[in-house]
Amino acid sequence: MTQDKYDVVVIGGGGGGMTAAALLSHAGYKTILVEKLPFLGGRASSYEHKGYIIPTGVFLVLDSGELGEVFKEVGAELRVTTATPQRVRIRGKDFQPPEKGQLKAVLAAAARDQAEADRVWKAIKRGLSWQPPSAEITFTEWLRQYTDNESILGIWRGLWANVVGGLPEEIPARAWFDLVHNMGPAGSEGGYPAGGHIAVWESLAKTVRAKGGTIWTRAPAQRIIVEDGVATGVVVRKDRQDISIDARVVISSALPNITIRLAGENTFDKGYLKEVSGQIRVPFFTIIVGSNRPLYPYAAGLMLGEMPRLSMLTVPTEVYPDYAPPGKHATWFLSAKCSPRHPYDKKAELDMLLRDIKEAFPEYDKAGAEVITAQFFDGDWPGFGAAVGMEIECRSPIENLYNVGDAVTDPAGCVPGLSGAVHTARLVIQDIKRRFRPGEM
Amino acid sequence: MLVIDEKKCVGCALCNAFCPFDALEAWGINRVDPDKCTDCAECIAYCPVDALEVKE
Ligand SMILES: Cc1cc2nc3c(=O)[nH]c(=O)nc-3n(C[C@H](O)[C@H](O)[C@H](O)COP(=O)(O)OP(=O)(O)OC[C@H]3O[C@@H](n4cnc5c(N)ncnc54)[C@H](O)[C@@H]3O)c2cc1C
Ligand code: SF4
Ligand code: SF4
Repeated sequence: MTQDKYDVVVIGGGGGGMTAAALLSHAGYKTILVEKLPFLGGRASSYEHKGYIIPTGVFLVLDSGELGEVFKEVGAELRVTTATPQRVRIRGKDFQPPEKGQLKAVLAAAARDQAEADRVWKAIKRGLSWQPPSAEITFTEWLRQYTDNESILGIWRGLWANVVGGLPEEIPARAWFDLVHNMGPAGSEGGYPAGGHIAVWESLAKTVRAKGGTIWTRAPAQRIIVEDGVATGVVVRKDRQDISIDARVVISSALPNITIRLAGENTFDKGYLKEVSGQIRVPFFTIIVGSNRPLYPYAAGLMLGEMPRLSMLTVPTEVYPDYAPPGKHATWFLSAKCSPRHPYDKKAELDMLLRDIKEAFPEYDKAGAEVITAQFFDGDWPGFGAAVGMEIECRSPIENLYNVGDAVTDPAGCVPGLSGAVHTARLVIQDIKRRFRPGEM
Repeated sequence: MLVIDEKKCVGCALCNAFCPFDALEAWGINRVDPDKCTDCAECIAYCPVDALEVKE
């Protein structure tokens, strides 16, 4: 069965795909987006379970920054209640960082004395303003030249893992400096969307449809059609039928290895295949807890560098009580401390995270706390699509086939996670606008 | 019979939430309770990595 011809077909309705579709339809391109799952938003969405709103990935959504800009540009509504800054637990005490100059303040709180704080801070400043450290050593190796203070190292175990993906003892020292250069020293920032994260993407979908765009859910792309090295469309399964969609441009927000599978390995350059198969996906895992009393009554929650598994928690019910059933409270716990470079046992990792949670919150049982769900993210449904520095370019070797999402990057500098997915979508749309006008396809 | 491909399953627990019969439970790996499962196939569409299948 053949459908109309479109200017652009977008595969996947996560943060990357949805922003791409919104910007395209806003600019007048005839656009269709196909998502295999029954809901939009991918790993930045939410669903309901046992009366709780459960995230499908991202805990805090940033309404400033690039996502906010896209919403403004296309005129869609984004209702996020901001809940930052996050506190930092240092040697068992919770430190409340100021709005500005967070890193310096946290460093001072973690240091044994002012001299240590100054020494580390100066080294960081020199790395940012004069010469970043070499990529030959890891960030931890770099930092250990200035301090052996585990609480200071813990700042990066908490912060890096949550915000960037990957562990400081595994990531090249230079990567963190490059990232701060591109983005500023972001902490875990953001807030909770009214109605859950799904509302963000439904709002964007409404705008896409109002501008003539088409969105299908429960519609997995089966194949990307490639003719003579050029992408010309997509075959989609919908209502048990295979539908062939012709388009001038194909944007895939599925991970690059999935994009390759869809287009057929033999159509790609060997070097590209090697780059993609070398990408390391960053595993995350979460435990969503419900309780009768709040376990930690502070909405933005807490970052923890010094526990074996627990890296971060957020408390959505402090902002929106309806994230939990009446009378209940929700706490979302994240671990980003599992190494992507070594084999691990998922069940044991979750057991360790739960042990950390109970140790950090001895009142767990008294507060009537219980696990609502536990989620693992890895492989083709990862925490981050690529460890920092391992992203590939947006253009693929197949003409008119682009990747967007958190496993690709701007050659000018990497932006991680959801912001990265939005950023790459904007880049690709700019490229398309330079190359074709709507209807010229 | 609903079969979980344990090599593919990442343990994301998405399918658990959408089973009308509360037959799935994920703790790292997903498990199906054969006494509760009716083979209705509702969960399959929610698996992001195609690890679920109803086999004859
Ligand atoms: C627990 C957790 C916490 C996180 N916290 C943060 C954070 O604080 N800050 C941050 O920036 N990032 C965070 N991230 C990362 C963030 O979730 C992702 O980087 C971002 O959501 C990725 O968006 P994407 O569009 O690239 O991919 P996705 O959201 O995965 O979207 C891809 C979509 O493509 C669909 N798809 C795949 N194959 C096909 C096909 N064949 N046909 C049709 N559709 C298909 C998928 O179903 C999916 O919906 C977190 C992730 C997790 C798991
Ligand atoms: S097939 Fe139906 S009953 Fe069985 S686990 Fe899936 S959704 Fe539940
Ligand atoms: S949805 Fe798929 S990957 Fe996720 S737990 Fe269920 S079977 Fe496993």
